[in-house]
Amino acid sequence: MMGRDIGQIIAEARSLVKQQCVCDAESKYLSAISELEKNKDSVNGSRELWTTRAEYLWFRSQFLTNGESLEKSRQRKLESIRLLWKSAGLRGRFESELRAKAKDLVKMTILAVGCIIREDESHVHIECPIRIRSVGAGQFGFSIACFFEKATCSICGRDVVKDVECAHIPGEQYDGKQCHTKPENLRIDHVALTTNPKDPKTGFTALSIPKNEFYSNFSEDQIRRKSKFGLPLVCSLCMKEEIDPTEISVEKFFQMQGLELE
Amino acid sequence: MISKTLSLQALCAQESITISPAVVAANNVVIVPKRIDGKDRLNSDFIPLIKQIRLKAGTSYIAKRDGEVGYYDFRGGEYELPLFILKDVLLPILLGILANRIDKMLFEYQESKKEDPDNKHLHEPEIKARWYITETQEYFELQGPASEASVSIKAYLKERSRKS
Repeated sequence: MMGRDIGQIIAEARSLVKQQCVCDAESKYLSAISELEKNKDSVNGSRELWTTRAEYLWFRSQFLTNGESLEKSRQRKLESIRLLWKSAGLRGRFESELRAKAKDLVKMTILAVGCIIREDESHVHIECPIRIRSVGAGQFGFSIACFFEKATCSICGRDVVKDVECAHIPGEQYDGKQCHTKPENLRIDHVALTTNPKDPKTGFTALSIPKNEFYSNFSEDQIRRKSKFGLPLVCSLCMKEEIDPTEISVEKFFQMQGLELE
Repeated sequence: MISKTLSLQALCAQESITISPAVVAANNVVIVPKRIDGKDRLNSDFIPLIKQIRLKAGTSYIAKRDGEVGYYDFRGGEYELPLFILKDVLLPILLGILANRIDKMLFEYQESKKEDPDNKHLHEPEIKARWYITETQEYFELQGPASEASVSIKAYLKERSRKS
């Protein structure tokens, strides 16, 4: 079969996906993959095989997961994201498209099955910025408040404000050297947690909460089922509150669940 | 921007400080630090601005209630300047430097917002500035977001130059 024919099959599969004819679409994809496997040893053939497989997996995770258990569905979705990511890593001309598809699938997975909350023996570890914000801590950043007695001029060594002999302005250049102030006798007064922090880049990026404390947010039935079947603790905040989780990147999605992306 | 007429004595009472009329007469600018934690302190964010004013003014003086004047590096939500008691001729210089500084802070804020639009901790700077003109005994207070403060200062300077 010629490359053009395979392209035609894929185009038909896409068209069937649009028409929601998922079974027909699946057989078209499988037929294209089986043809591409014959040329997998060439560079282009291998690339086309990978990208078509990734597209197929993306399609499957979107349309063919009905009737599966939540955990099976999660595993399938995670595997699809991994494969899409790996395919994108081959740096073919579809790289950005595949990365966008992986990101899209991450969003869909969060909204469909939630995210696993990482646990160890004694604590749960929350690294999701959305969840952190929701528990309040994420609204705060840090402001360090300090006092100092002298602001020494880096050019002449005098106090830059109080000593009238100093004629330098901090931030200005003098003979190629920039003037800046050096605080002396500095004392940190306090560190404030505030919603309007002096340094906006500060804040909580991870929370570790004792398990017992965290489990009290869930019903007894949920906890019992979790221990009985060895299920992970799942955060469904975005599903419940209809939050758009676009800010969660593919890497962050795996990292915050303690899962390997590659 | 609010303004009111106030005698120097009343101003000193308001600030819990003693400044002799002779000191005010001898200096083009008198800088009154903020009282924090039982000590007079200047805001470290405005060190370059205070320095520029001192250099432009020719004669200047940093008033103190007791002890040495120190510095502080925190805001409590806003950037507060010390109170400036100054001769009328120096007001356009002070306000020009202040407007410049505020515009720079605004630019930095807008750039940070562009770089990190989802950062919930980024807020427009809030400014608090006060000054007193010795000849007219007028006391001014400006408090609000940097963008509004900048507009108010520029409008005030424009109006002032139109009158003169």
